[in-house]
Amino acid sequence: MSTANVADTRENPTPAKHKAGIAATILRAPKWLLALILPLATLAVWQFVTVSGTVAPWTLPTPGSVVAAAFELLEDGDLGKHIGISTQRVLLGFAFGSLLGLALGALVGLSKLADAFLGLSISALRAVPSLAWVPLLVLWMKMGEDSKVTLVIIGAFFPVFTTVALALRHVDAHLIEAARSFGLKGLKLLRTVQLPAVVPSIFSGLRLALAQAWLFLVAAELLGASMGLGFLLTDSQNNGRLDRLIMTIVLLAVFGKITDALLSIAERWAIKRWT
Amino acid sequence: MALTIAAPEATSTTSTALYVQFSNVSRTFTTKKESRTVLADINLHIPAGQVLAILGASGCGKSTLLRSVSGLDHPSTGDIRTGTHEVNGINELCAVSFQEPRLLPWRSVRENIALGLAPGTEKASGDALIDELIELTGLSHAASLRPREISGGMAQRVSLARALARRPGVLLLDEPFGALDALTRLKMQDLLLSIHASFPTTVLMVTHDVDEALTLADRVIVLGRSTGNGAAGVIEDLAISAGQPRRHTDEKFVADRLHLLRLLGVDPTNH
Ligand SMILES: Nc1ncnc2c1ncn2[C@@H]1O[C@H](COP(=O)(O)OP(=O)(O)O)[C@@H](O)[C@H]1O
Ligand SMILES: [Mg+2]
Repeated sequence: MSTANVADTRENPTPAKHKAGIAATILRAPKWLLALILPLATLAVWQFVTVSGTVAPWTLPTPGSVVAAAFELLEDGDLGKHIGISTQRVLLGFAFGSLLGLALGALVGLSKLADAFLGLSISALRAVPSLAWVPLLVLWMKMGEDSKVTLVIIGAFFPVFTTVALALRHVDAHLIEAARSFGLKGLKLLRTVQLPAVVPSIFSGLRLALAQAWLFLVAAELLGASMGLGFLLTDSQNNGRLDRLIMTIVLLAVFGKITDALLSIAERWAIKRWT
Repeated sequence: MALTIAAPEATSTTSTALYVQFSNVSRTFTTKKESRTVLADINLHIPAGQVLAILGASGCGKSTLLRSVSGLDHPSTGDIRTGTHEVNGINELCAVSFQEPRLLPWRSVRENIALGLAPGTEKASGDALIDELIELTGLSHAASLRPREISGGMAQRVSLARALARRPGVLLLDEPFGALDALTRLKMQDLLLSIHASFPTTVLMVTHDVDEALTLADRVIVLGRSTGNGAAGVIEDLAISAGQPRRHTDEKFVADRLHLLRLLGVDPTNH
């Protein structure tokens, strides 16, 4: 009898647990399914209000016409060019910016001397709003690729620089001391203790940098470009092509999310490997 | 024809032990506000192979004394020798195991131990030494695990194995079992004794446990206030001649214990 009682109390959840049960039940569904509910609902409402005429087509085009706009541009070969050039600018700027951030962040994080010389100047540069650079870059480098990639470099640089410098300064002093007691110093110490310790921080810095890179890309292309997704935004605005405008926004969301997801996979691996 | 004698092949039973000599060592810490002498007039000779336990109130400079042997800290006056080597900068002839294991979280137990290998160790002999240490410290089943996957006692054994991988002339232990539970602690003491039998090196061990000192050491020194300015010096230097294993009920053990507790300011009637 007593054993049956024990089993009973274990199997019957308490009333309090029952109340929390709704959220728990919903959460049992696959995550991707839950995440898709809001976008699909938005799409449905959008479709409904535009097709039923509640909202005028010149205020908001139908989802179908946005898709049609995409195919139309795709057939011209223009969309591919815009996407290609934007992706190239983002990736180039992101690569150079984060490498530069890594190098200078390591320098400032490891060397008090470098911090004393560079710390203030870099944080002052960081305080300059992104758009303020555009006119200067356009004057110096004209409208070519350099000015856009440079702006993306600026955007990608700071998040990596800041996280790496900060993380290096906070590496467990005990670990460093133990390694030093075994005779490790300089580059060997950096490679053995400090760099591995900040790998997870580097990846979170890179994710921030990537988001910044897209932001700065659009800023650069909005203000002075003849190609790219940012140019497509201003061009569509000038021509009143709402369908293309919305399509571009959706594309930016999709590409931003895809690149971030790739980095987050790398980040998860890094956290597992290096902590 | 010149006679050449081949150097004996290094095995774990070859003693690498070095003597340690402190001559007029003192240490003064100077901050912006004040200057404080922590250690003064330390003169000590620790023969090669001796196990020395260092007792003393917390904050009296025990860690500072050990750190100055490893070169992590340096005396303000005087000098320290390990064997004929005068300590100046990091002393690669000794190895430290701290109160915290201080293992690299991203490395396996085995890779952490390998960090201790002396620079220039050949791959094969290094691997053999690590195998032997893993066996000796009872870590065979854990060699490929990460530090976060093992217990505190095991982590401390890894730290000990890492220090031994250096084949140190002097092994410096700074309260190595201080953070462990009482039972694990006793097991670690046994382990240390068996390790010292296989790796007969000089050991300087800081502890706050009088019983531990009397169980493990050939000699116990007590650091305490010896001068007017509050600096610590050696206020007791006690040779322990009893062999191993030691019975805590032996007359000499009990007498030494009472004496040391009194020196440390503990009323022995309660203990
Ligand atoms: N780097 C340092 N700077 C200033 N004071 C220090 C430093 N290291 C240790 N001290 C001081 O020296 C004294 C002895 O420290 P320590 O050797 O760690 O003592 P113990 O190990 O005996 O507890 C302490 O009062 C501590 O505040
Ligand atoms: Mg201490």
